[in-house]
Amino acid sequence: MLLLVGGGTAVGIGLLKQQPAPPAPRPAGSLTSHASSAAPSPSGPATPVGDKPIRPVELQIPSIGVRSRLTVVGLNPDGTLAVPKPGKDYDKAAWFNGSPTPGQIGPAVIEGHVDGKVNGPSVFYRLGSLKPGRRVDVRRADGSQVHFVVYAVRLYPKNAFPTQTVYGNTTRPELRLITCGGPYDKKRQGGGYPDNVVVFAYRT
Amino acid sequence: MNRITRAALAAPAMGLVGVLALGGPAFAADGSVQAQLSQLNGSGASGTSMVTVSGTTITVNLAARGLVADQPHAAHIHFGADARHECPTMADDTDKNGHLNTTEGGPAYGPVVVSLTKTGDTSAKSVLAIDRYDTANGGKISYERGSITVSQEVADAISNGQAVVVVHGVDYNHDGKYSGTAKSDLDPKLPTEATDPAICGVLSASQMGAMPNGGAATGDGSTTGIEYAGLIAAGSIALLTGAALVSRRRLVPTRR
Repeated sequence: MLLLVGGGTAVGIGLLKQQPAPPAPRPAGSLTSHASSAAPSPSGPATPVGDKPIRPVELQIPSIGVRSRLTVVGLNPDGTLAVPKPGKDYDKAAWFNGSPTPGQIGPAVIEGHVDGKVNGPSVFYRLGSLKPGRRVDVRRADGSQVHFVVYAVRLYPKNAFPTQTVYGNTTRPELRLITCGGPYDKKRQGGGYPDNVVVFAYRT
Repeated sequence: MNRITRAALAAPAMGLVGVLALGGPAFAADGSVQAQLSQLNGSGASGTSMVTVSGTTITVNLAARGLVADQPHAAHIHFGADARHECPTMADDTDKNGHLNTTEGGPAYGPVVVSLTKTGDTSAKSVLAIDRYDTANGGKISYERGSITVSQEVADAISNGQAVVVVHGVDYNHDGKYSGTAKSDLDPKLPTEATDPAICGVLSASQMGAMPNGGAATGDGSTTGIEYAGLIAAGSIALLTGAALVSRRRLVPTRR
């Protein structure tokens, strides 16, 4: 009987603590990694007035419970985007210092891990479930806030990443939020996730 | 061409002028420039182009869709010191026939300085080397060529946002090929459909200070698969053993 209770408890804890795989962008039907290579069409009012560069310090996405101090990343020697390293900044979102600052005209790039060995789900674990129309707020070093609204959430294969669509010039201040996605395969070279989730937002 | 069509043609071109006006200060340096390619002559096509400049060597990427399918499309980089460094509008239709031919676009974008051929010469001499340009399978072109040598003046013009990418080839009579009695302003042996511009965009400086190579490696997969496999397995064995013992006990009383 002791075995029954103990075993049941162990299985229960094991299953309860089991973290589901990160959510994929929805509606999933039209957003499979191969059908979504087309550029999302920006919509909403254009506000083609850019700010001077002011360093971003905090990111908030209320609808998926994200609130993170921002760290800064650059490029790796091979030209790929660096990511927050294991340690105290691993679970923070990171602004890419080769992109415009949020509020400047152009595609400001903020990335974050989807998960990690130490804490499991990371800052952008739920990014794939973000919906068009939701708010994204960035606080800057001078205390000012920039408000963005999501206009597209896309899943792109890493081996056919649409550089121009994601990093190309824009006519207004925009934001790109990037994390990993797609079915995980630990044997895959260069990281087990085959895709990137990319959120497109514009300044309101 | 009626007035509505003219207005529709002028709109994207004016949009490009707007984008230009928003561009940052001119600079001459190594780096990358890019263009959104918008339709001319009602082609319905669109595209993007990125040019990386390193000294007097350039690498060109060009992707387009909606072009006349399965036909060759000449593509060039244009620049003229006295050109407007823009895409033409219907105001450049000097013969007022409702179509912009390549010559009429000259005051906007200048002469050809680079021929975006797949192989061989890339100078202006190859402007009409139709057999060495990409054919648009299904209306799409995906072009990349590196190690293209240009003059210092052209390299500077590209870096300064003064060069224009133009892809040619339209199908006014919708018969799926280059045809019609109107002859090309560049070569009277070709129909004008083969050489009239289809898409155009000004190469302007990237808003990115540095362009990442691809996406981001932002996850280690720790939340996928079964994380507590050991605990679940051990628990399951205990559970099964316990269940077996219970059922044995139950069997005994029923015998009584």
